Amino acid sequence: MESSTSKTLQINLDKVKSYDMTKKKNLRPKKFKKTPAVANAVEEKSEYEKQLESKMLKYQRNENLSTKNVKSKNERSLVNKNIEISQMLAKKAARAEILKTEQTGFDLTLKDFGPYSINYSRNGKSGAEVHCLRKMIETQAMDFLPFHYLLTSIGNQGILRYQDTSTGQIVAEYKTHFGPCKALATSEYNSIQHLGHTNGNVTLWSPNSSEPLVKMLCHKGPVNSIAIDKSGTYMATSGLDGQMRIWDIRKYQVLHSYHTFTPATSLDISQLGMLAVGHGPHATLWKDAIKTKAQSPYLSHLISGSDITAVSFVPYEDILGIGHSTGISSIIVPGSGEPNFDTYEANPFETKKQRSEKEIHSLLDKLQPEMITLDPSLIGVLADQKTPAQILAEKKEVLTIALKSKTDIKNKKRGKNSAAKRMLRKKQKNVIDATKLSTLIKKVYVDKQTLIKKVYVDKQTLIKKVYVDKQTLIKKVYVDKQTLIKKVYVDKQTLIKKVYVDKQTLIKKVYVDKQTLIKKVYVDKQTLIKKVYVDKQILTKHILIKLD
Amino acid sequence: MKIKTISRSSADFVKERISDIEKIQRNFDPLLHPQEKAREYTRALRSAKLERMFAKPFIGSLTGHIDGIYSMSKNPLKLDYLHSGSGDGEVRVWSLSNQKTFFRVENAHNGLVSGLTCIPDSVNKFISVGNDKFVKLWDIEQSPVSTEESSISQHIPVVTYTGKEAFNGVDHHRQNDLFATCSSIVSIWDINRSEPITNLSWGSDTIRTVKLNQTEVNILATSGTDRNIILYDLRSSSPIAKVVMTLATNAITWNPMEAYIFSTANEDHNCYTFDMRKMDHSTNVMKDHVSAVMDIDYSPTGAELVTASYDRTIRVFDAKKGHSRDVYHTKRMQRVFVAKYTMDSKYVVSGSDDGNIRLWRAEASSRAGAKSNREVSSLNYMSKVKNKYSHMPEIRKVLKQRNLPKDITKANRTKKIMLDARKQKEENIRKHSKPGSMPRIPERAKSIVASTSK
Repeated sequence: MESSTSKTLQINLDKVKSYDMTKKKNLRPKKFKKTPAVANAVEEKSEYEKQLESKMLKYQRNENLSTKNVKSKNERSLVNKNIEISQMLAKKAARAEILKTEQTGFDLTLKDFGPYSINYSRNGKSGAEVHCLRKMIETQAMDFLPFHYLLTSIGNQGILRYQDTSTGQIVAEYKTHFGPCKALATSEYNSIQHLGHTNGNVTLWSPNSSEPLVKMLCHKGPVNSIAIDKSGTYMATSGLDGQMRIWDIRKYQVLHSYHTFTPATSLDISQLGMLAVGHGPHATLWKDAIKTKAQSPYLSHLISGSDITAVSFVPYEDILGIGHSTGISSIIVPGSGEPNFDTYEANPFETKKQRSEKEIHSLLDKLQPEMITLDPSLIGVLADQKTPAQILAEKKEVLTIALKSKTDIKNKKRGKNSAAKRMLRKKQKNVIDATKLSTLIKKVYVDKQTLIKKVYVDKQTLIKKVYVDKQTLIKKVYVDKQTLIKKVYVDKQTLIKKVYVDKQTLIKKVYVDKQTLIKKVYVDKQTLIKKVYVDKQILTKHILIKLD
Repeated sequence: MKIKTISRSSADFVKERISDIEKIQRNFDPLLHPQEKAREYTRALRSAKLERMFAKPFIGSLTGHIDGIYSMSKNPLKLDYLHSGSGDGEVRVWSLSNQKTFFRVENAHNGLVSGLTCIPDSVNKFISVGNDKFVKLWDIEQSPVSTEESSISQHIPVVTYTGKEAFNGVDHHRQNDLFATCSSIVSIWDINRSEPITNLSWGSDTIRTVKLNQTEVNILATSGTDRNIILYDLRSSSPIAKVVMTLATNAITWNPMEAYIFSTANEDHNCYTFDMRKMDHSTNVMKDHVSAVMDIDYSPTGAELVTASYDRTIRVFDAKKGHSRDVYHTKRMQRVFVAKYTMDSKYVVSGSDDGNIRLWRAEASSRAGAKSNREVSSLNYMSKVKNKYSHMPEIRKVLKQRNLPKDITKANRTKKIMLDARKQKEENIRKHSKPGSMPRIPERAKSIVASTSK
């Protein structure tokens, strides 16, 4: 396949620059003495250096410059400086010539310092600036969010860092708690960071949350590499378990699983959805492997005797860059790049002026890290106003969920009491972060619940006691009443009887008395009558006598 | 097998010569424009901030008048000309581009110059009326002459008409040689006759303003101190309609694009827009002033209005909206009695009690002068994006915030308290009266007491 003459190879000059810098380091005399192995490496010039030197001859100028006849010290130093500059310029020009080869596909053999990883700029053009990022330590993977001006990095520490490259500020720094990590991918769709961990998890991060937004178990071994397609819908992951899986990120579900003969070390998805897989010395390309289950690869490329570490598509070109242990290769993959670019978005033919102007415009349009969300269409939409009742319900729901998950409440006891940790704890006592807050809330909730229960139980027992007391009291009262009634009845009966008897005896007595009295009265009467009669008789007799 | 790969020739995408324009290729596939919404929003916010940063509406003040300015007129044929009349009887004609007077009559009238109008078919002639019962027709091109009374040469009017009463306003017919004046009656004059040809009246109170429709040319509107707005037809010399408002109307302006629409400036701090075909309610109420509105003028596009108020501010309204788009004030500007849109609708002129005419930009952040195509397209894009997200709280806050003088802020606050209290009281009464006995009257009909039409 012959490409047009205008086609030029463009890769990030960073790699070459860093190569040079290491070279300079090795040339230091101190190291020279200490490590003879390195010295040998320098003595035996690499192929690249040889090539560079031969090319440099073409660009050499000021050959007549020499300090031989210059007497003044000042002038001599000036001449020396000029020589240095001309050397540097020649080297630069030679280096550029080496890179700007006419052919598109190429192999750059850089055996000494492999393996190489690759990344291309947004419009596929070259150009880079160098910062010294002291805070990014032991970095294994990096990515750049061009709209947010954020550089993300993750490494052996397992700390995800977001650094604003326009201001130099560390915007966010989160511990993943998953250990070392070297699989990092950015979704172009929403700028969410996808991290692949050694326990097979893939976590989704935004700079606005100290916890991962999503955690999904993707592999049965460490995750090797992640790639996300342009639409942000599909994610490809590969793991040490020998699997490559295609995921639907909208549903967080696996779509297809592929078996790779050796674990795939690197993945990339092109603008038109072609999937590149680097495994061992092979780079395989799959055409319709994402939306459908593909049966066989579209292309396969072998770089024998090497180990592929990175595959990366060039935007707007049909080119795949392969970084491997022996250098960098660039191969043509027909049908991978987007043929129709948008000048205002990313222009592969941009001029120097356009580029510098774009730099300013993109800085003016810099997005805030707060704008990174899972759903980018939410921006520019007004949030629904929640009623207080709704807010309360939501809080309740959160609390109940928190209460249900036992693992969160569990206190880790092991290794708690080292002196350093105790001191740290003391220091952090006043700091309340999100996790602390959630445990605090949970604790308060639990306390409240137990209190409520206790109060309830107390109330119930109290009620029962009162009830029992009441019942016994009622019974006692009833019994008392009954006995009282009985007693009263008996008393009454005896009384009645007594009264009756009394009455009867009284009546009898009265009767007897009456009778005796009547008798007596009668007797008296009789006696009286008799007496009176007698008296009368006497009287009459007396009278008669008198009369007589 | 034929395999195609991307192969671009730079000749297709790079301009050949320096003078050529850059070649542009577009692809509107949303996948190629990730996070478009967030980027647009950021641009909208930037655009809103830039708009407020560049909002410097005041251009300059035209000084010269000794007394306050109570009448002004613009020339429909000459963009540059502005006529002004002050309280001491002086009339000046200004060149707005030079910000200088080029025609001046010191004692045009004995007392207040109450009205000015241009004659549409001649650039140089204009009419002034005053409290001294005279109507004077002036020609700018006429050279000054020295009179018997004073040796200093002065302009003299081309024609002087004598009326019976002090005049309050004047307006010229768009097509014929007619003009209308108002005092206690409306008089229609022919320029070539010394006496009015028709007198129109309905009621007996003083008429404050008269405005002839410039499109439907035989219709004229008047407003009087008896709180009336009356429409007359010149063809039949009879009134068409009458509206009685709760408070008097200070000024009237006809919409230049829609002949049947006119707006009024009212004493009750509001402006009302009427459709002359249906006068029982107004079509729009424009609120925001905290004192009587003294003058109102449509922009030549008919889309915006400028108002002058007794509260020492000028406001620019969107003709279809209820609240002002912008408010202009300066520390030294006193009660504003007249405000006019210039004929290119890019500037606003105001005349105030302090004797200064002030020139403002109609769009506070716009700048005059030639713009490159790139600048124009960039400005267009920015305004479009800004409008798209103007409902967002962050952007709205930037766009709406205005620093007003303390007394106006205070007046606003007290006015709000008073209106709220009135509203509350009405609601309370409604709550305790028979349902349906107190219907809610729409704001647009509230201040209209009665209306009749023929």
